[in-house]
Amino acid sequence: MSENNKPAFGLTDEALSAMPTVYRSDLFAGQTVLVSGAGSGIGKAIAFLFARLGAKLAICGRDPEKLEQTAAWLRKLGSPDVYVRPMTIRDPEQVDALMDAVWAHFGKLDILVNNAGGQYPQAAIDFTVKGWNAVIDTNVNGSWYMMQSAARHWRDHGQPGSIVNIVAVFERGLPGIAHTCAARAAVTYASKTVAVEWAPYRIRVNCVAPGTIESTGFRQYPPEAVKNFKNSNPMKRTGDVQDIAEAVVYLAGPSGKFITGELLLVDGGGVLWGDAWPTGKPDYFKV
Amino acid sequence: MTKPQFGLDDDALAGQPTVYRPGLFADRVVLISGAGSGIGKAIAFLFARLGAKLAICGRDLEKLQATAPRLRELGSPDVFVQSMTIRDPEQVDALMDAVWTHFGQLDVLVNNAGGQFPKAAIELSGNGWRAVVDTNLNGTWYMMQAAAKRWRDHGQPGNIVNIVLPIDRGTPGAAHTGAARAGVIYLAKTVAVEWAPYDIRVNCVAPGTIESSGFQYYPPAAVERFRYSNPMKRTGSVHDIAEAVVYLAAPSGKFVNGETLIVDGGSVLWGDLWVTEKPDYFKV
Repeated sequence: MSENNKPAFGLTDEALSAMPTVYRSDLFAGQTVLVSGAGSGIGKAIAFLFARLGAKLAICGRDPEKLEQTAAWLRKLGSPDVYVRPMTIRDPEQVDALMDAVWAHFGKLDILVNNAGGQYPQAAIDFTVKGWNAVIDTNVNGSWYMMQSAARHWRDHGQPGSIVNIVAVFERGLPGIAHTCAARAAVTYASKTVAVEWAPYRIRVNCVAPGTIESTGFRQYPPEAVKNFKNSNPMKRTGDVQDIAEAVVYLAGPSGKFITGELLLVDGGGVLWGDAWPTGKPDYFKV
Repeated sequence: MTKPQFGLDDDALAGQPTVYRPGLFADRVVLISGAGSGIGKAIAFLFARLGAKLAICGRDLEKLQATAPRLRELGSPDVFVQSMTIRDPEQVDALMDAVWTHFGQLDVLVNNAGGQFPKAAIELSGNGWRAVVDTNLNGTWYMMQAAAKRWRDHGQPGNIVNIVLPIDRGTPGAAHTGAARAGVIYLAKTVAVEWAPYDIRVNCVAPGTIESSGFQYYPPAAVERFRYSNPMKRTGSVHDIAEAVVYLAAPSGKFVNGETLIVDGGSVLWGDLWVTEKPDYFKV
């Protein structure tokens, strides 16, 4: 995708950078935020918003080109310092090296946003072992390595920390993406557990569960499934990536200072009514 | 004003840093029940600082009249005061009519009014039980429905935030309010769906142990242990709740619906809150 062509789904960089925000413009002045998977979609939106609010940013992801394109925007949007590191969260050694590099570069870290992750739509009965393992490895293990490594650095430096994990709305199951449903539930309950264990270190841990959010990620779903996405919640529309960015800021910032172990659903009420069916709705469920 | 025994005085409350941008609620009208003290007053203060026009209601006219000038001073261009009780559906209807007459619109309803008294469930009288359920559950429902009817009839979108409690692990020592707040939470989830066609969002904020003037109603031995009700080992501030309400009510919450946001320092995960003195049995 070139920078100026409108993507098939989601917002252009220009549109994203101009989204209205509820927050004051200097909210994160002097703060350092690490966002994983910041090269596209929701992760990019989160990084854009923190940049507009004055944060110094560390961004990581697998694709160096996407990260560099994002970094240029972040500087333009007001981030006084942007550190870029291509890596995969699946490798605990690369995670440790990333955290060391962030501390070396900024001398501190205030907020970690675990956004990197992903899945592909497939009926659970057809999952291969490799496919299952890949989704679990990225979403659960990768998020865990990041959480633990960040927490160890905060503990060892005697500094407080704040973690926000991007998960999914798993309460009613996620037919068509069972692997990610299991993985996101695991991340959420790891978060609730360490919200208690790490309270003595003054580390808060929370999750945001996006419902059907229109982003470039829509590309990987069949068009007939995408057409039905608006019926996945009672508002009969999709959310935008800015909705998630604003939720993350709310929890990560001082507004969330008495919130820990919480899962904030940003799904238009999808958990209460509606069906998403990322594989397309099987005939059996057409009632 | 002398410093209150618990919570923030008006000056300290007005000076709390906020994450939100000035002008966020310019030209918006926000109705807050129980705005004369505690959490309700903190919510009203924050909306005023963000430029909202405000309608405030409550039972104690004097407290409301003391709050209103502060709201104007903080930046609210128009403050409407009505003393009433949410327990009476006719007074609720009259309030809503008065708000629409005065402002010609309503954008956000914050159902904060409510309350309870600490008491072992086995000792609760019929009157005590009914009073708490009537205020917290019925009163909140009258307000929700009366607001929704007007939004539907005017063809206007609406937005409701109810202040409840973390009810997930029960509320020992306050069974009446646990039941009532659970009722409100599930009402909110239900009408979040039913009222989605009217473009009305409905959400809840569940404050954990928040230090406010309300602490005075609990035995000192209980208050002393309140900070052990969560793994952060501290109490929250009324401003934490105000910022949560604004998050849900503002455009930041435009895709959040039927949700209960728990602001409790993690108390649903660890900690014990005893609003009565802790029974010996549980001293382990």
